[in-house]
Amino acid sequence: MRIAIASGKGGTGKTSVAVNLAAIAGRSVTLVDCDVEEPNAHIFLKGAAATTETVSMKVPVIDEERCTGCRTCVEFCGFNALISFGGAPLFFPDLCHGCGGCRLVCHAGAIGEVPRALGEVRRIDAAPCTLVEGRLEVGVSSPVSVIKATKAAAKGDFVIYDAPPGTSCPLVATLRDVDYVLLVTEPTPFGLSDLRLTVEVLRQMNVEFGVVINRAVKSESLIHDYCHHEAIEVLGEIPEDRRIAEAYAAGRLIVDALPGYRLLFRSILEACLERVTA
Amino acid sequence: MKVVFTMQGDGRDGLLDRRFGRAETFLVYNSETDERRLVANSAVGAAMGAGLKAAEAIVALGAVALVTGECGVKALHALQRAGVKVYSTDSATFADALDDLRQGSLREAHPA
Repeated sequence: MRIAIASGKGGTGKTSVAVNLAAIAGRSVTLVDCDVEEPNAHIFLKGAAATTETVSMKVPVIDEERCTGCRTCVEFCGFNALISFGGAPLFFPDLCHGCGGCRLVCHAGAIGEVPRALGEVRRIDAAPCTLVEGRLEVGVSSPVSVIKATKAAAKGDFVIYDAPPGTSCPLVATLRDVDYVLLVTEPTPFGLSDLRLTVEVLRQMNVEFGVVINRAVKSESLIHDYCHHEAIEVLGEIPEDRRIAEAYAAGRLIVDALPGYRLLFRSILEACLERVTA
Repeated sequence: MKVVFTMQGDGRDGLLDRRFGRAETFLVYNSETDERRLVANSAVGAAMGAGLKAAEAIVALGAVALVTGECGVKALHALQRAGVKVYSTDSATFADALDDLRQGSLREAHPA
């Protein structure tokens, strides 16, 4: 069973919801932090790293002696990672997606492969549950490979993915093969705008999903109105509560600092599980 | 010697484009003959690496220098490797930038 917590807009409370749901689920769950550009679930699920593995990608290395300067690899590369001024091509690793095509099309056998470190995956034995965290190397432009490696490192039957913000490749890489998506949003025009975009992505991916409204205030029906109109289920509302912000700022789980909220998170978790098994 | 200027639109208005890789047109100026030629930048629609693709084109045009607004680090690195001088200008028009070039008052671009 694989549940992803996503949002579109950043800062709506994805990680807060993910870590508190994971804490409620306990030992049976593995939380996977797929926000590899800024992983922060470890702030709330504390523990020492049990294992760390490097994620790398094979990139070309050009043997200038063998290269005939024919430009076949340069023409082939759809990402413009190879350019040539006549002689052996120049390689720009930032643009390379590691497809290996340049090596295959080279007639002269002048292209070899070397690993380029993209990031790392850490497994942390946190108190309430296992945390698997991906972390992208600074300067690497696409997080997709690290997200895939992070997901692959998570063992167990019950996994919660803390998704990255946005609606592009990193989100799609996270949501591929999930059973259910919980969208965390906030009752603001920005929250609604990005919720709409994310719903479009999920409908194209044909994934089941529901909404949790964070920082909910009674006077604002923006999200309810949208969800009602679109026939999207609202699984829960986390109220605007200064004490939650204080717990968050102190790096504490809401379900630990404010036990009164346990029931709310349990009911959101159970609603998700019901939707998956239904 | 040939110097390339990055131009807006089809370049006929004489307005410089501050962008390098995404400029629509290159104006190739020949300082010996005073000839000006407009060439479409085929890299303008590239999903990624437009600057590098454009750098390749600049070298293929036989230019020894480029005059533009801003040039990214990758393209700058590539052009320097190819021995092309890159000049940064705040001028709005080709005419002004050409004056600056002739007077030697253009500043060379450095990696950000």
